[in-house]
Amino acid sequence: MIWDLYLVMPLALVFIGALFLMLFSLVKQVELTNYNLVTVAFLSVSLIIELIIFQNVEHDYLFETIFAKMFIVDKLSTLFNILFLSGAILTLLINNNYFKSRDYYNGEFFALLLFSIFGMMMLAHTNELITAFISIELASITLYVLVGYNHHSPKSSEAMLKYIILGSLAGVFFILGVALVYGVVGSTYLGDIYSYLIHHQNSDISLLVVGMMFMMVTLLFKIGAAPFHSWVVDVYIGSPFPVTMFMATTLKIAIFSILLRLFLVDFAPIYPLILEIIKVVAIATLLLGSLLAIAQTQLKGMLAASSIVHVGYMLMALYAIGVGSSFAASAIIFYLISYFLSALGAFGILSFLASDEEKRHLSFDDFKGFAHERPYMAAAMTIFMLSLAGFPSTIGFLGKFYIFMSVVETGEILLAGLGILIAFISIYYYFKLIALMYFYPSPNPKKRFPFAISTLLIVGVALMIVWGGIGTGLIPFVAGADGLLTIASEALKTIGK
Amino acid sequence: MEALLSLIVILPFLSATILGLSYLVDSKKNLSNTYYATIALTTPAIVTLLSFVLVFKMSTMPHDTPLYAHLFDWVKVGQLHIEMRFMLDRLSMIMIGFITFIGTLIHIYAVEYMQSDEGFGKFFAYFNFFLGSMLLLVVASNPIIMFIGWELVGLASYLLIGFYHKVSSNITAANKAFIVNRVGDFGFIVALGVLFIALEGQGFSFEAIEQGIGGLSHSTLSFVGALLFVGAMGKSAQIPLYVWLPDAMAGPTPVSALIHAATMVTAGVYMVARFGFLYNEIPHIGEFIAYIGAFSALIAALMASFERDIKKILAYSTMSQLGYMFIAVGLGAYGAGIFHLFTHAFFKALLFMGAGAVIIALHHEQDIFKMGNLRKVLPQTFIAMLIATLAITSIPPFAGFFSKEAIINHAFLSGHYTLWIIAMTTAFLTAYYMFRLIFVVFFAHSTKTYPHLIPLGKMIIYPLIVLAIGSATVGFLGIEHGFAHFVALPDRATPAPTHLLEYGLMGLNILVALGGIALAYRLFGTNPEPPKANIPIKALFIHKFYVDALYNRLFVDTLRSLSIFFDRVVDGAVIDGILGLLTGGYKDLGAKLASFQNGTVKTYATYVILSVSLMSLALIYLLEAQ
Amino acid sequence: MESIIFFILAFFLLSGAIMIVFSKESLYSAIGFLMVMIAMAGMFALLHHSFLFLAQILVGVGAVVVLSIMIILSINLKEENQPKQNITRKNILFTTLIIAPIAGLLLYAIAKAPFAFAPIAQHFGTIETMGKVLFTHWVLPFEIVSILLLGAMVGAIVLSRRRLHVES
Repeated sequence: MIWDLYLVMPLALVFIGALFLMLFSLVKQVELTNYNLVTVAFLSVSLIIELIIFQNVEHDYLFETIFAKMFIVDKLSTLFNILFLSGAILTLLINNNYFKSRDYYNGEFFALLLFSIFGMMMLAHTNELITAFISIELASITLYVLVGYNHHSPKSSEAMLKYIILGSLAGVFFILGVALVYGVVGSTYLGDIYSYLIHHQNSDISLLVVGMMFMMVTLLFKIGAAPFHSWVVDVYIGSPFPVTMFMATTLKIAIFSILLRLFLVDFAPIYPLILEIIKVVAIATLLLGSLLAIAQTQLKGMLAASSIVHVGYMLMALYAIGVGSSFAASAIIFYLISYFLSALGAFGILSFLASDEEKRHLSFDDFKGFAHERPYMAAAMTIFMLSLAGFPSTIGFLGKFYIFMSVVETGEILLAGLGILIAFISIYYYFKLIALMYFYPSPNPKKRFPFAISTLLIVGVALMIVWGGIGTGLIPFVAGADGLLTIASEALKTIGK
Repeated sequence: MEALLSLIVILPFLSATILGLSYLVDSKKNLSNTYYATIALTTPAIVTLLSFVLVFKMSTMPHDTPLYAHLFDWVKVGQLHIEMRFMLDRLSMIMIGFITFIGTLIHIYAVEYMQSDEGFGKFFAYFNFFLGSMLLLVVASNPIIMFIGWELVGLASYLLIGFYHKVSSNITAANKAFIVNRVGDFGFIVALGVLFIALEGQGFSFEAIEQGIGGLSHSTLSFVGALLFVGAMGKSAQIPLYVWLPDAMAGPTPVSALIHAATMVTAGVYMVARFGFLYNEIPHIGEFIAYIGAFSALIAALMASFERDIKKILAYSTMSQLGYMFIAVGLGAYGAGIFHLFTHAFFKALLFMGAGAVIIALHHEQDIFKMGNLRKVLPQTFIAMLIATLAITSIPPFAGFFSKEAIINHAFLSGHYTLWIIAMTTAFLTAYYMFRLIFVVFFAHSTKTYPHLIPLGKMIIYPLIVLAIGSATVGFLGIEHGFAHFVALPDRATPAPTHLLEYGLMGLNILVALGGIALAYRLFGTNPEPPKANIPIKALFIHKFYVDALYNRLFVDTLRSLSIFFDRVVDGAVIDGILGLLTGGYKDLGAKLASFQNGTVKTYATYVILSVSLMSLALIYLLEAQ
Repeated sequence: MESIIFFILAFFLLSGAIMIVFSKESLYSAIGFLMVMIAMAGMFALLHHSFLFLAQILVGVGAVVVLSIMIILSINLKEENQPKQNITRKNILFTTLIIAPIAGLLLYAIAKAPFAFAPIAQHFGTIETMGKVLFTHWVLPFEIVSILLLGAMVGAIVLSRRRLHVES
């Protein structure tokens, strides 16, 4: 019982934090930074507890007598929670300057963010489809509001409406899928689906496959995979920087948490039936994403479109899972982490600049000669771009390497080849920025490095990326990034059958 | 003990980092030279002390129990298990002993030599880095770590040779050193790769290799041995990869002293000695090495005899002496080779530092024929140089006598008479060109005066004195093969000479050296004339056998025209054209696609439903198909 | 008897749905929506599910539809102010074409599914059983739904206050 209370602490803290901020936001005199710090404090404590849990937990159901087997606590869910929490903390701290520079942020913003994180954490813990749906909706609905938070910008409101309508439309398919699954299995528990499939090998499972595919549609929509990617660029550009950052990194991880749980265990026996579809989706995502990314003129748009491409890589590995790759799932988690760090850093620099210079739309041209104006920031940006492009000596390279390895392992050489080709194409739009930063004279004089939480964290993230890339044993006495892969595979082992 | 060993390698890198960072941060030049000098000198001094402590502790232990210091596992992928582990056996003990000791003296000397240079801090950052890399190379317990040290040494030498980077010819020289070394490194790394594959994962530390090579075929071993020697050729400047060495004189003189005495060029000899167990299996490759060494020695001596730049004379003499060492290690006399390496470190450092003192005193004049009569103005330098010259010309009882004699005698006793004759000829030439240098610089033009002489400071003179004492005495360590026994390398045995033969050979050596000195005195004792290219053979020598021109024509020009061809035709027209077509098309496609992103929710919703509908069709097909 | 009621309800349900899509006046669409909701409630009643019947009437009819009708009336939505909808034959055909595979897939799969339904248990769908199930077995999702509603409420307040802010 005490242990259960301990397990529920992180979620409870996030929820209490949300309530606290909600009530606290009535007080007008509080400075925005303090809201931010309070939020970070709640999240940090929660993170620390999660870290301790991660060491000790194997496979546990929370309050099994009350919740039955709905709430699962294993290493995988804890690992994902750690990622959400650290993602949220980094997002909040990096954007500290940005919050202050805009007048439309207030306490509720942080409350809503915490609600969203609560939804994501719930999603990682859920062992039941209806709870999963509610969690996805909780994470999404609050995000809808956050997307439209900038009430000065019609674009922001437009993005919000687009996101609401399309998100709800896509959400419908999940609940339809759940209904179909329930119709066949008679239960919405994840474990029951698996045991049904094992015990009814001769009966017709078409309906279950259809249900699985419909659920897949929603999940693909939420991570922004083609052909459900059309909203991504518009919504990402329309939302405020912190929200874009949060969506591009943390939300994606959250969706992958349920995706992995579903497709590694419960749907594993019937997953091969829709593999071809996943393959086509992965290829389409890679191609369409990179085409879109090339056409973007705004940096935010480029990062948004390129996030589609990154999803494509992970879908390649998801495909590999179905073909039987042994470490594709770990590769996905590793890739999520690597992408999470790189994108966080890149968006962070954009938001820092946007907060500093009242530049609303950062286009490529704004970065001409950036390296001469702010050499350290440009260096960090270069690291992020290199990592996103998958350049060796960054963590992004390792991420791509593991993904391609897992695909090659299944014998899909052509698919891996396509992935590599797309990676080469991505060099075009990432290196364009590097070239602009370094090969043009700067219109402004050189500026000093601004010491603030945001900038220091950005530099810290950049260092982590390099550590992840070359630290793999090169730096003595420090665990390498390949340790993350081990952690991921350990976590995956605990999900059980 | 383990900690001490690790510290020896780590400290120089650490202080190099500190110095480098200080130099970078200190853009306004607030930090004084004293600050840099303190850090730069303390480290080698401590390292020297540590290495002496280790040497004294270790020398009492039996030679087959080396000291290991395991830092961490570097790579652990499948069979590839590379540890960052250091090994201290008798061989590496001798190496770190003299590298740190002579390195420290050169550091002290450099503090004064570089005093007025703007990049003082940078110089010492590189210098400490150089020392650390060399130490890493020497104490590595497996070839991979050794290769890292090897590469770092190459990098450090590149940085230091090009230190006066404002003159473009210096940059060219640095590039040349780097690129020529790269050719050698390629041989090294290929050899390691072949060895690793051949050993099939039995471990890749030196001791594991030693145990593993028994099962390898003779041809594999020969291949590996030959390629390893290609690496050694590059680092130790042997034919045909020696061309970088004279040009490397572009760096500051302390750099030359460090490269030629304690670090860098000794790496090749050390590596062959380290792989002695392997070369003992393939004596024919060893003979090949010995012949390469002998010809390098002879040709370098010939070129030195006609050179007029004081530093280049010394550079060729280094190449020549390295040739001797390769004769020794090629013939399996590893102890003798390492002993010559050891004594050579003393007198070559002394020669370079003496030459540096002369150069500094004369406002960076390097042409020996513009000098003369310096005996009277620079007496300490003169005495030091004289001792070093006597050592290199192997006049007893100076250090070089013992070590060189051991090598020449080994060649004779093992029955390689051709090698012996070449070695003797080279000894004669060595005496000739070294005393030519002494006579021209210190004796000739006995009336010449130097009104604007720069006085030499203590930090230049004292290291000279210490090294002079060393050059005079360290040879006694080699009496009765004491040194070779101590190092305990797997020497190949030779028939023991009779006493008469031994004394005969010794006398012959001394006679040859004296002959060279006499010839030098006769030609250059009073009124030296610069060499003139009046007969073809002399022109050949003066122009270094046209090797540079040949290499330029053969490799540089062909490569350049090839790359121009690739740049203009293949890359410019073919690849860029195709890529341009492809990327252009792709970009247009992207723009077209982006126009589908028209921003209306209705369209987007239609896309979603349409996609689901297509997926449904596919699923119906798939369900039917199963 | 049951099937007659079912078909009557289904008729209203479908015609309501068609009305939503095809009518040009928003108000008529809303009324179509109302029809759908009521017919749906009737369906639940037909299944003896009294709780869902009540909830459908209370929430679906009472709250959602009435609210949307009130909004339509209060902002006085005229046809010329609305975005142009071109309900042409081509569009209808296109829509039918893209919906058909989805419907086809569902029908195909349902037809093949080995349904073996247990008879409806006693007290199925009564408020009491629903309450028991919600507060015992489904307590976790139930609680999370409340959090979801709370979050949505905060969001709604933020958005509406924002509007006021803009206007003032």
